[in-house]
Formats: sequence, structure tokens, C-alpha cells
Amino acid sequence: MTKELTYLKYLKQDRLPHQWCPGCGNGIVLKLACLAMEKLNFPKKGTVMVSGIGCSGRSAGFFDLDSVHTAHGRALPVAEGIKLANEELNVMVISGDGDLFGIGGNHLLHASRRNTDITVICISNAIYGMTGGQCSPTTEISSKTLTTPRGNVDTPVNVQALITGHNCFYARSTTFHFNHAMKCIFEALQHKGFSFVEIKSQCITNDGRRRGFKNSYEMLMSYKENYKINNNTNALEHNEIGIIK
Amino acid sequence: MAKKKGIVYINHKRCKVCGICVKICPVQNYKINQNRLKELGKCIACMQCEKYCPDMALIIDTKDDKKTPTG
Amino acid sequence: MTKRLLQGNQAIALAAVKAGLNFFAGYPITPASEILHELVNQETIKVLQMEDEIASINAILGASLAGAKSMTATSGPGFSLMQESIGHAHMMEVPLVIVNVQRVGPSTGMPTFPAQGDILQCKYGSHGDYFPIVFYPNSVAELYEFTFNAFNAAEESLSPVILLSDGYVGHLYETIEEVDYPISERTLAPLGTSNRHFTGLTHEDSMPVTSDPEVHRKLIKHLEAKQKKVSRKYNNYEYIENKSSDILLITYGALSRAAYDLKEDFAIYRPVRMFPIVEKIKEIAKKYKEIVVMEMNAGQYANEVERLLHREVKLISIMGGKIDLNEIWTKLRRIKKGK
Repeated sequence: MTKELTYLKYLKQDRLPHQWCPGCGNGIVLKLACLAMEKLNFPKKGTVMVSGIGCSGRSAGFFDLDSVHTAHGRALPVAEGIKLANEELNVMVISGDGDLFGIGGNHLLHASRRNTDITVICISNAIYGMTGGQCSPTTEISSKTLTTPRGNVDTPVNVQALITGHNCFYARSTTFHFNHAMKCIFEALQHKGFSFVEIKSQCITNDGRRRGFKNSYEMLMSYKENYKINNNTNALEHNEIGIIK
Repeated sequence: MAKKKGIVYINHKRCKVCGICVKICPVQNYKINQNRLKELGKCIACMQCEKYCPDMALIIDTKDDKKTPTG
Repeated sequence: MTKRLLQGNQAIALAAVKAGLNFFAGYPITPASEILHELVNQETIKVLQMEDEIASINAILGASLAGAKSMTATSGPGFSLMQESIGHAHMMEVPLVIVNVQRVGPSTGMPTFPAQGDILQCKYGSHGDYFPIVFYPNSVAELYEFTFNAFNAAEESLSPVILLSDGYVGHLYETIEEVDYPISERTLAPLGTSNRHFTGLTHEDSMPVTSDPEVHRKLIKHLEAKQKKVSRKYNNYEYIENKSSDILLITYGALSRAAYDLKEDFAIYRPVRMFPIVEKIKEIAKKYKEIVVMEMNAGQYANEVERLLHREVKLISIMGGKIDLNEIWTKLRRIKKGK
């Protein structure tokens, strides 16, 4: 074998395969984060990964960096503390939508207000996957989950308005739009100040299955159909992906 | 038939047989046989499977004698 | 060495700075806010006013891992909010100092009145088993000294150490000498120097192991042994012997200051390291027929003492933040007559 996956240097390879379900989008986001870091030539020493609780919360443990697996919802204040205590460090947060918008919603509001120089990658799968598939803050209206058997009635959280309202970097992408998602993370890492990347990701086991998807490929394709890239806007529509600086 | 341009390395230790590569491959180069991913030698090095494999189990090497784009 | 008139809360803040504090995060709360007020004026440290106490403790947790000596200060309601992360810090072995200036509870209670209702919360507040080191001084000078001790114990044990105070001692003004006590240096390498993983999951060699009971037992045993070993250095208590009395009065914090007036009639024992309980009490208690615990709660420490001594312990409970020597006397007389 002549070719090697060079981005794997950012991961603890002896910890692979990761424990996520077959077809889970978290692995793709893990790869995206590594590729973006590699592109920027981030030093392994001097970069810190922070995550919350949930499926995506386990991602920090796979990085071959100093990493912190915080309590549920508390990734942001921990990351802020790290960054403020040592401003030389590159601090990245990878966590899920339930963790960042649900239990940790207040911290998101205030971390963006304080504009601390951290990069947050949110793996937004619109479900509480680890606990079996309950409705999450980003679950779409009328979507069926374990706790909304007749369809969700609540409006999903508008993170874009929250982040851009504080004049912070916001980007949205999906696991299908691989190169676009990488560009989002790449630019977010370069952004000075609070940057937030929301990556729509598939959970076949506890979400897609209930919504009639046969496999995670179909979910990936649904992102292809439902999301269009928009590069020139200050406010993304719900079916658009792009970067707002 | 597309000309063979890529060599596929499957890391079976990492592969969870999720089937994304099977569906995403434009030349149907993959097959799942007895819960194990098989490659059929038709790779055109389009890199889609390497990109979308959530388990980092696939490596596509382009053949040296042909300078093909890898993107 | 200079003499200064300081408020209790102020003394904590100034001692913390001298003990090497680099980072403080807090949320305003009566009666602990003065610590935050004092620290924002210090130029050498970073101070962050967070959105709530949960964010505060998590911010100092991150800062501590990144190499800064960190502290937060709060009162009962905020301390309740912090519980989850205190357990988390024990699991990840992060040195922290948490100041709890107690007020009357439960819930919002009487914010401006002192109480001692958080004693058991210090030890059992978070879920799971952990073995915190808790100090509870009773004067401004002691608050100053034990802020140093709290920082040192935190660094030595790599765990969150709780410094208890109460609305009375916290707001008390006394003249103290600003002594430079010795400081324990940081031993934990800061973040960004290696590839460690800090997790609240049960772990071995910093890697999560979530299905092996043996690993968990080993981890908890390690945590217990570590705390016991470090706490041996801080066997702090005050004992006023009284050979003419057969009653030992156990009291601490603000209330113990009132008890000093009773030393002619009773022997007095005052724990300063509240947890792990100083074992010396077993030896001292043997000399007295009657043990009376006097505290500003419904008997939290009395239960702990009773469990440790395996004998009956009488309780004088002074609730509602009012310390009245007449009330104490009446209750003590009743106990004296009762035997």
C-alpha cells in the first residue's frame, strides 16, 4: 500500500473502529475535522478538543490531542475556560444538537455573546440518538420520534439567528456536501472569534429508521435533494447551506 | 466498461458494512457478501467511497502509471 | 507581614491571589458576591462573570485543566447547581477551589442570613461516590489561612476542594496579619502538551471503559486513597479541654464563635477540616460522657459524628440564622438536667 490516510494522524488509530453505529454520520464529521486541521497544519500539541455528552460527545476521545469530555451540555463553558486560561491554544468543540442547543442552550447564547475565540462543530442529527431516539431541539415539525409518535409539534431552534444575531461566524452544511462542509470547518477554524458550524448528519438507527429511510445512504441523498448551497446571503433559508461571516 | 484506475484497500477491522460505499459507487464496485465488504476490481478512483466512509475503512490508491485526478 | 482590616469574603479573595489564583469565574449571589467584587479589581488574574453557576464551575474546570489555578465562589443555591460538575471534577481529577458562603435554605430561603445547611451537600451532593476535602474556618484570619490550604490541598489531591464559610463569617470584619503561607505548585501538565483524554466516564489510563466493574472499583478506590492520603496533611481542629465538664460540645463555623463563651462550663471541639472527618475526635470523645453537636441545621454533622463514634449524640439545632447565647444556654441546661 503506497497511499495512507494522512489525516489519521490526528486520531488515536488504536481506538478505531469507533463505537458508533454502521452508517452514522459522526465518523464523517470526525474525518472532516481532521482534514480541515490537516489543511491548516494544526500542531497536535497546542490543539484541544472538547465535547459534551451523547453519541457525538464521544468524538473527543478519538483525537490524538489533549481532549476533554465534559458533563452534558457544558462543553462551551469548559472550552471558554480553556481558551481564556491559555490563549495560545486552538480550542475546538465537537458536540451534538441536543447537547449544544438543548441542555447547553444558555451557554451557547452567552458564549456567542462573549465572542470567545473557539470553534464549535455541531453534529446536528435532529435526534437524541444515544438514549434511543427522542425528539431534539432541531427535530423538524411533524417528524416522528420516540417521544413524538404523532409527529413533532414544536418549532426547531433557529441557531442561525442566535449566532448571526451576535455577529459571529455561522456555517451550515451536511454530511453529503463533503467538500462544502470541509470548507465551512476550514474557514471557521481560521475565524478569529466565536465560530459555529452546524453539520446536518444522519442517524439511521434511531431516527432515519422511524422516518422510513432504509439505510444511511438514503439519508445522505435526502440531504442532496433538500439542501442547496447558497454563497451570497446574510440569512440562509431552512433548505440552504452556506457560510455567514 | 470504465477503465480500471484505482486500487481499493479495505480495512476489514474498521469496516462495519454499513453499505454507503455499495450504493454511492458509480460503477457498482462493491458487494456485500456474508456480512463482509467485497471489491470487484472496477474502481475508477472517483474517491466517493473514501470520502463518505464513516469508518475510515477505505483507501483508494490511484495507479502510478496513469496520472488521474484524485478529487 | 502587614496588618489589615478585612472582611471575610475579602480575605478569601486576597489570600486566593497570594496562593496563586490565575482564573476566577463566578455568578453574583448573596452573600458571596464580595469575593467576585474584590477579584475584578486584581490585575494579575482573569475574572469572568458567567451566565450561571453551572457555567462558572465548568469554566474554572476548563481553565484549571489548561494550567490556571482556578476558583469559584457561591452560596447554597449556586452550590446546588454546581453539584454535577463537582462530581465530574472528582472523576477527571481536576484541582479546583469552590467557596461556599452558606445562607439559609432550602431554596431561596433567607439570602442575607447565615446558615450551615450545606454540610452534607458538600459530601453527598453529587451522584456516585467521591471523597471531598472540606474546610470550614470560623474567623477572618482562618479564612485567609485556609484559602491557602484549600489551594494546596486541591493541587496535592487533584480534586475540587470546598472552602465553607457562612454569611456571618463572610461579612465579618477583623484585623488580620497577611501571612505568606507556603504554596503547593501545580503538578498536572496543562492541556495542549500531550494526548490525554479527560472524561467523566469510568476510565483507565485516561481511556473510557464503561463495561468493566473491576475498572470502576479500582478507580473509586484510587480516588478514596488519594483523598485520605492528602487530607492527613490537614488534620485541622480546635480542642478546648475542660476537665471539670463531662459534656463535649462539638460546633463549627459561625456558631462556634458563640460557643467560646461556654468554655468555662463545657469542653469544646471544633472541626475545621469537616470532611474527611478528623479521626482525632474518636479519641477526644472517649473522655466525655455526653456528646452534644451544636449546628445551624437540622443535625447534618451530628449524624455523621454519631455514625463515626457509634454512640448517642445529642443535637442543638440553631435554625434561621439567629445566634442567641440565651437560647443556646437554655437548650444546654435542658440537656444537663436530662441526664
